Amino acid sequence: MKLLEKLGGMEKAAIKEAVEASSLDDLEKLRVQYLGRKGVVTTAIKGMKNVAKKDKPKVGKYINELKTKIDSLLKEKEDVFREQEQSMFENNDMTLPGINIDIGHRHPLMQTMQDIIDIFVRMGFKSVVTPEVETEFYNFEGLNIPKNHPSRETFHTFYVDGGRLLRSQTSTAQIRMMEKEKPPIQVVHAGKVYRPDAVDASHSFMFYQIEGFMVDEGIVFSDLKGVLEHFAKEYFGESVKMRFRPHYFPFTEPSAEADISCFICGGKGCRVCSYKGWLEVLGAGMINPRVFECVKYDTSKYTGFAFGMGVDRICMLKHGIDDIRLLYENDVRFLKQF
Amino acid sequence: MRVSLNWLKDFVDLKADLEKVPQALTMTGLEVGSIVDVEDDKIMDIEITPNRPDCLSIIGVARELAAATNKSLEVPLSIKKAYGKKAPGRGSAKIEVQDKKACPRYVGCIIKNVKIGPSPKWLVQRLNAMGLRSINNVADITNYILFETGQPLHAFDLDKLEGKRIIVRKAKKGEGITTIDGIRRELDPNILVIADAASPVAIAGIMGGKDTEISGDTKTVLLESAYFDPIVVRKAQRKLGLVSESSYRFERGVDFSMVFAASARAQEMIRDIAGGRVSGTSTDVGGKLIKEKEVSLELGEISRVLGIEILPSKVADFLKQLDIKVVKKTKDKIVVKVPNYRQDLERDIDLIEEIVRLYGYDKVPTKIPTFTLQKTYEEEKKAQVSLDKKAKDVLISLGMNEIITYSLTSRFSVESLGISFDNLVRLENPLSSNQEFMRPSLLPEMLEVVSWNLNRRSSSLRLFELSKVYLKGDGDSVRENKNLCLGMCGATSGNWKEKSRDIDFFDLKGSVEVLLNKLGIKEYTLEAKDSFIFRDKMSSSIKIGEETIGVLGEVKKEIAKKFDIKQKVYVAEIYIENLLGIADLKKRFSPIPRYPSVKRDISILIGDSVASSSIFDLIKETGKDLVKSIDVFDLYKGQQVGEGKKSLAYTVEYRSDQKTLKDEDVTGIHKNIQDALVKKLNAQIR
Repeated sequence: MKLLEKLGGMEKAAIKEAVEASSLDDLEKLRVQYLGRKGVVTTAIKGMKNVAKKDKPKVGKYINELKTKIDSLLKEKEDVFREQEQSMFENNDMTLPGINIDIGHRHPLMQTMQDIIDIFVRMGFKSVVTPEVETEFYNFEGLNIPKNHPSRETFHTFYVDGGRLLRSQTSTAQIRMMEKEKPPIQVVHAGKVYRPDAVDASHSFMFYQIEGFMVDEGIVFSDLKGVLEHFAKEYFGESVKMRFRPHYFPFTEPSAEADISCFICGGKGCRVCSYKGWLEVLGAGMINPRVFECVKYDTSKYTGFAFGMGVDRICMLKHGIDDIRLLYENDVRFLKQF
Repeated sequence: MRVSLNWLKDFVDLKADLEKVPQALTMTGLEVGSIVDVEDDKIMDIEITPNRPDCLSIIGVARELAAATNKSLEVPLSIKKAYGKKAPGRGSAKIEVQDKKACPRYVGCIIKNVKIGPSPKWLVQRLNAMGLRSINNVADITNYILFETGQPLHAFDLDKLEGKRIIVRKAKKGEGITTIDGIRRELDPNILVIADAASPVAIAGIMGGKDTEISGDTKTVLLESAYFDPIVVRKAQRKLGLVSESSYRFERGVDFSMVFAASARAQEMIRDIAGGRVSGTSTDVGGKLIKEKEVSLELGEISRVLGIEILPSKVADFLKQLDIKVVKKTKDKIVVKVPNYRQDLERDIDLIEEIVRLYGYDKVPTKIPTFTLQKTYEEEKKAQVSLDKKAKDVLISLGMNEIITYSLTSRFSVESLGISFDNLVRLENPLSSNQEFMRPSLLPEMLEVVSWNLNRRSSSLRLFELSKVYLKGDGDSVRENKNLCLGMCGATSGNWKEKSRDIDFFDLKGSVEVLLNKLGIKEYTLEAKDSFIFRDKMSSSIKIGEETIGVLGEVKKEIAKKFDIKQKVYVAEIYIENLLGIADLKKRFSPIPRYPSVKRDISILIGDSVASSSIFDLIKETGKDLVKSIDVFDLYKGQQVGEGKKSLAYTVEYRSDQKTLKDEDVTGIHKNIQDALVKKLNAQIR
């Protein structure tokens, strides 16, 4: 079996030469040398006729395997060279900018509104929609804001031809929903409101509000505080503290304004919180029994709370926006920041 | 309201905790805004809510502060002695009140031999602290008393009053008055005036007249302290467009019991400072003792509303701090008498608020109520909410930016877009003509936003707004419908690998198609339609059956110009509410094809007037179920193909759901399609 030994030697030499090959040309030479018409492997195949009959299958198999082995070895090596060759013509400056796609953006005000609604909906509030063009009853009388009452003056209002008005607050939903449904009521209501204020950095004649209210037997002031504190921590962060101050709204009593500890300075005092450490974020209170009387709820049975907040203000606080007009100008250089 | 800390100290002992004053006031409901140092004083800006006119004075704020800090209130003796009382004696001033409803009480007092001159320094300083300039000693004293007690006063020069008498009556038609600010004001019979025997000398509760004001040579003063009806004052104030420190207090309601006391305090000061002598006694028309209002409170209500138990003895303490007297007490109920200046306390809930205010809102523990499981949205609104959300998601993923514009629009915008005024909702009291109408369409504001951005050199825009439009409904009702508006202009964003190209109608159309597709709307057509807004042949309505659900097109040059837009802009408006019931957001899975598809190209030369849609239809009709998709990959018009012709190239994808198509199957169908195009549409195969 001298032939087998010879072939074994040939194999070792081929592997060594293939590994050492340094160009496509080298590889081509090797291919001719081993697998070409006059190549060593081809010659070995031709020499099969001199092999003893009993050894033929074994030697034949060996030669075939050797041929395949050398062939794939050369191809592998060739792929490597070809890739190297190709990359010479490619852009291989990785510092070129990546290819960006222009993505769309949600308006920050809508995002704020959705985030807030989602928090209340997760708690169990139902999200409702009511009209923007309203009657005096839903905007005023039903909410215990009688005509010729000084409290009415804080609600400047647009009127439309025909006697209706543009709601000046989202509290209108209290009356609408309580007229429609019996307790238990858990409602959150977001939308546009209108007040004839001249536009400046902090005023807009149209803005967004979110109103929430809950009515049932056994609802107490502690519940109001609990729900709003939960909201504040969910939305502004776990470390935020909330405080309640007495205030006045015709449709709630006791009424409160709620502040959160300034999340910019942590309550130490900064420009954003006017060095007070607190940021006013919402108004709230226990629903005034006079409102329940308007919708014919049994005041000896039911109690409830209500709260309202300006979405624009919260959006501006959250993102550090210092001019409300930016929200309505829709400059794309603004919109694309969110 | 501005409040001087030094002045407060006159009435409450604040030695120990001066620093805590703002905090104490804020946490009992008188929110202290800014605090400014003025000389050796601190001036707080305090927000007084409309329910607390009793706090529109230094004494009122001091009273709150005393209650909040459980201290006693020291008021000047002259006030203490006269408070709640009717002036003694018959009175020497001649006062006739003709309208007792509008003026239930009028105290007049004559002070002789006054020496008008400058005020002492301390008085000037206090008025400065309140933001007021000194005028003369008597005028300053009336202002001082207004701030101290909340009761507005007015001083007349008695010698200038015709008949030396006062008549309180409604103005007569045609009457007018020149007020102390020098402005001539016309009056009407709804306005209450103070008149002398001849004509009005003051607008009751609002402002005095120029002719009878105190001047350097005034010798005799008639000092007025009155209670005017809040509504009468408010209406006059609105009618005249004139608000003063006086009217601000009268329209909110002054303290009936303070009317004479404030006068007594002023008389004392005028005597001390201007050297006057009170002539006889004050005339007090309508003066009487007011019975204090009784309010009852079931003690159980406190915990029912607040969720906390407060001991009855503690409740009594809080009420006492507020000068609310308990007059009857049983195990579960108390009856109290509220001071006259607290007109806002009418029923039990009002007392509960007082109690928790003093208890401290922050001491009330928090808890979470038990929620009832219920639906996230009202059933009838659910579909709209999902539709809106999906539409926004799709548009944002298409690279469009959401905008929010005002619901109010101008006559100019409405006219520019050729919208009829018939059904428009008009504002009665617009802020400006730019916001006179509720918008009937989202297009004008979209064009405004496009213009805004183009003028700021953002030249490529893809925008959308999903919001309401407003039109008159039945009767005086207003229909509020949601619309969706898309706007595009400029070019696609290019980069070093791909060139940028101009955005055109087909970019907008493509976005609309993707949107409708994702909303599950398959059966719609785009129909060419003449339009006021859109350029000819680049104007289309979107229809489902016979119903138009939107429009899209390229805005006419002359209309774009009106919005200061010089480049091409493409907009669409979709009446998204009309898609309810048509849109189908339910997604049902269809199996991934089991057999491979085969793609073949067709290039044709065809008449320019043949619509692409008819070629599509013919290919589908001929190829039947086997045609799965058709793409246009090339379109050429120009010299090489000649006038009136266009060259088009399509890729048709064939697939069977039953088997793998063989080459000869596809060749057959493909040939049929080519033949049909030649025969029916006169196409040339290239």
